[in-house]
Amino acid sequence: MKNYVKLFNFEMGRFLKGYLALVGFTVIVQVLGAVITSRSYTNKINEHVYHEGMAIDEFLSQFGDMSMYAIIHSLWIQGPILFCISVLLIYTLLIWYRDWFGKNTFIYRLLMLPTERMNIFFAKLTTIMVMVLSLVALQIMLLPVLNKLMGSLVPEAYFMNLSFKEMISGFNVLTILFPFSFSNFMIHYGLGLLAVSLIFTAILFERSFRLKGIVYGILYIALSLLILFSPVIMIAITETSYLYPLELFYFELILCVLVFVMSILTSRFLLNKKITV
Amino acid sequence: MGKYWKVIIIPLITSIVFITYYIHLQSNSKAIAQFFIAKQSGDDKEVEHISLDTEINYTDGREMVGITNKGSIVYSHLSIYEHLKHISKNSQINRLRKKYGSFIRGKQSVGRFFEKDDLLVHIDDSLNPFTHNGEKHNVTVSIYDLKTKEKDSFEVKLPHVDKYSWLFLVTASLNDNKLKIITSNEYEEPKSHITLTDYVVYTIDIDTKKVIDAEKIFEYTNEDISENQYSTLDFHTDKKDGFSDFIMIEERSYKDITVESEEEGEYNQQTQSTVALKKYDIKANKLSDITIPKELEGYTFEHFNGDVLYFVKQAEQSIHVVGYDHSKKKITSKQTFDSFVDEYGDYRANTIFYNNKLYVTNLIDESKSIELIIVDIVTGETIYKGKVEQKGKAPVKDYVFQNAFLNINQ
Repeated sequence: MKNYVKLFNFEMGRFLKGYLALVGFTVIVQVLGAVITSRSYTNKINEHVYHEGMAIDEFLSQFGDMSMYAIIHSLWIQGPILFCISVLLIYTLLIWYRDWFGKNTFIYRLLMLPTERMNIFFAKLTTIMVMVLSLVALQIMLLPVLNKLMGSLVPEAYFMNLSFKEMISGFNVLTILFPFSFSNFMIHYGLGLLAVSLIFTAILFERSFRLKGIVYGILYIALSLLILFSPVIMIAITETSYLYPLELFYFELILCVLVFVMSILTSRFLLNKKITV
Repeated sequence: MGKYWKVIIIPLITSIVFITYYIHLQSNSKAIAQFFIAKQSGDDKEVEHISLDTEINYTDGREMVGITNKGSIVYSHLSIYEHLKHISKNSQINRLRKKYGSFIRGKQSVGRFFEKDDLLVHIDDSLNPFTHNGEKHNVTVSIYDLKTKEKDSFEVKLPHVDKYSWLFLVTASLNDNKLKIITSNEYEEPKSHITLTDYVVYTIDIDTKKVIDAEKIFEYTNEDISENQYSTLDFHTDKKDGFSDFIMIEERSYKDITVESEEEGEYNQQTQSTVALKKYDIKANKLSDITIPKELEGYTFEHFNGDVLYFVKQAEQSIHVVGYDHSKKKITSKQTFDSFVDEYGDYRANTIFYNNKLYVTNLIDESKSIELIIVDIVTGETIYKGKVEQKGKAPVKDYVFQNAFLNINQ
């Protein structure tokens, strides 16, 4: 356990600068978006209402009111989210490959450590999940702050205050990132954990067997997906569902656990027996 | 310990944010999920199987909520598991599963079940749309007798179906071990490209497991009457989940009319009315026309119980329900209920006929409540009256109901 914590701390430290850069980028772009969007709207108010004498009702019917929807539907919010998702996806691959292709082939030192090799796997897996969840948490904190910020920049009569739920409902990706029910949260991020572990296993296949390993990795992911989707594929082929909806749910849950355990055991085998220093 | 701050601080803050987020959502869902159907008169048993699905607009958002006499649930707060559980709890399949066990498995998503006492028949119409090669025009019939525990399943090939592109199972009837399947069979007239529908009765002898008769009872041409008017043919069966003895064939006309209003300007409104009715006696194989009396012009046919036909008409701020005995050619009942009309002139009262009961839902108290009235259509007596109220010490004040749809799960 102690070795795992040390490795986890080490992995977190290696990506800390990158992580803080993502945090900074998200905060700056979204705050900037809120300020620019609010300013451009207040400029419109100044121009039409104060200079041209347009009535407030007429202005609102022509330009609409200002709310968080204006930036939630824009790249100001969506851009940093999609950027962070892309960076973390790339880092899921880099977290392994930087050990091999970095300045000093660091993987040799890692693998020579007097500890279970699976600790390296779990430390990397935890690092990715913690990074993902902490960025999601940052977004949860940022949305109400941005709402308040916009509310303070736009005159009250022109601003529609949105509840947190409305803000989230305004952009489908957000409802996936922060589901309204806790069990859905567990399902979404459980699937995320499963996907990362599958990618890790595929990487270990590639590292173990090199070119052939790419094929093995792809086949492994294909096999896992086949297992996961087998009940749905069966329904599509036979056009009949022999399982009731709740049974199908439990069955899929068991399959997910099975595929995850399979991924851990395969990775353990590859790390212990196939990857040599 | 200080050197491990990264693995302590980041996960700790993340956990606090998520815990706060879900506690906030949970408390919010409790705050809005406190509506229930409060009885004003009648027996609570009448609404045990009922749920009112409605959209509630709050000052800070809107929610889809299901309201029962016990309380309410906010649909967006249900997890996938809870959602599936909710669907399963309320389905007809669930009731059949409890009664007939494994016989239901694999059949729930294809075809229909017909129940008569302890006999359950499943007709598999999963072959829709029928293939064009003319080979798959088979229907699988499965029978389970709960008393004798006997199960049987066989396939029958429907005759003369090659020209049809689509077959739809309307209903079925079972008498003297003869199973009658009524289908609507669609095809396109090659020259005119007009879609025609044949209504055919296939008689299957359960003992020999063969189709012994196929008879076209009716033909319909699906063609627009004019640019702003069209009609459809609808079927009404006397038993929703069981074998039917009669079916009513209704031709309904839809017409778009332009309404001029000082406030809204010109806008289109659709009117609908029943223009023709036929009754088909399945056992006697007899199709007869029903004359709709002049005073029911503009009404729509919704339900029948024996010889009494029920017509409904949405009028300004009211909804009229009329019972008409077609054999005696006289109106047997007339009832009027209030109907909410919103600022755009849309009517919001809904009527549903189920098991010889009429369910009327209407928005009342400036859309802050929903009224539910249940009428026994045989006796004409109001057997239940209730309205949506709030539970709890801190009722929500700023809200309105947008609509009310009734779900009857039996």
